[in-house]
Amino acid sequence: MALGKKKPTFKAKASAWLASHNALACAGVGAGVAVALFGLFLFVVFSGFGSSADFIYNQF
Amino acid sequence: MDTRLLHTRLIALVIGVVVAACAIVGVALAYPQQAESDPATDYGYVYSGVKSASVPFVEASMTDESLLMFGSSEFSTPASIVPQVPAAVFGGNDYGLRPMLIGEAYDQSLWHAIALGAYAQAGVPRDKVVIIVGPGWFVDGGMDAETFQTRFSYALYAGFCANGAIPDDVKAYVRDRLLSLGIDETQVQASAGSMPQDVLNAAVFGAIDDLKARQGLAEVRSQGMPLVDDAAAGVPDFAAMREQAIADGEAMSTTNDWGVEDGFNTKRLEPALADAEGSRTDETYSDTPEYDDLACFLDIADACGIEVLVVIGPVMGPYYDLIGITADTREGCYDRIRTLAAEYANVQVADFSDREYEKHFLYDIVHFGTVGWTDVNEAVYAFAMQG
Repeated sequence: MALGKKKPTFKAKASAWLASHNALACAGVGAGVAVALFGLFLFVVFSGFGSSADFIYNQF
Repeated sequence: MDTRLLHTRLIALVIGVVVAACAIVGVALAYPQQAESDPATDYGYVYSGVKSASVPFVEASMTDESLLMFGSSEFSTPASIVPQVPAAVFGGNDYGLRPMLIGEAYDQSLWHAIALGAYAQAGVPRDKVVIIVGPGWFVDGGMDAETFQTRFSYALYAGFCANGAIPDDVKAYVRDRLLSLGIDETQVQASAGSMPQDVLNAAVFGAIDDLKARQGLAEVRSQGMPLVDDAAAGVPDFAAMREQAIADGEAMSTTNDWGVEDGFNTKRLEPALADAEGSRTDETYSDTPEYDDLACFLDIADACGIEVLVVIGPVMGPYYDLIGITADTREGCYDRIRTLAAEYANVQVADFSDREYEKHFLYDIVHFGTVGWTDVNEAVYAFAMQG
């Protein structure tokens, strides 16, 4: 039985592709970090999550 | 991964952080500072939690004629329903008194104690404040933790902690109460702690709180009313105002014998009556930390050299008789407040607890009506103008 050449995994192929397109990978890392941090900031400050509601006093 | 690739991607990550930081700074700069306030506009009557928790904005919006009034949902009553609210009387005329209303629904003694500490740190006009209390604050069990957590203001607590005039035991009491009500210990510690992580947390919490306040104040600024500046207005004629208040009260209450505003009677009171009778016979107004919280408020005023007028508002006698909270039980609550206030040399009381059965004193079952606000305004005016 002849041994065939082992097929590279997706991860290996992706790593190789990113290594050969390093500028694109760096742009992705930078943009991803910036979007994540800015998105987190917008959520914390502007979503109103955890802030008080406009209470109507229940006098009954 | 090879080292060169690792380095370039690390640099990309740092650049991403820097870009995000620049965007955040850009957003932050888009909002005016909290202390920005139009001197030709009166923000004293804007009913807002954001305003109430922003010491820089309130301080910038006050003058020597201002008077801090701490209260809760009664401040939400619009002049369209009760034309005698402070916004109409003192906001519409220059009587040399400009109330600055602090608080909204569910802000009670503990919240106000913290706020007073923060405002006293920044400066209180006339060295006087008013606080409006009523039996609604003193229900058994006290305020539930979940509600208080939504009212807690980190900025006010930080200001409170920074006030060196407040005794350590009072600060310890407030701290324990906050923790017992489920306020995050990290926030409590950040305001008062001295460890490096506390300083870092304080910077982060403070920055987030500042930006939220600046965002919220945009709406507050849009709700201010033109500042009336007319020295000829002189002294308010409360006797004439009371006559008008009785007439207004009768005009707004034509379809019920309770003396409440017709809209409230139709939409709220009548539907509630079916299940009302005897529904609260177990209320005692005694099993609550609210009295200690009120004492804490008065302790802070005393320590900071501030005179206090405690306004005791009544509830509507006939309705409370119906639900089974007896006149004796209610009197027990009023009496504890009076007794507590009497322990302080710097505290005066405007006691309206004997007005429970007077029509038009309230416009619903707990909030001042046409006559009620007229008499409260007169008491507040007299207190403000003393010595």
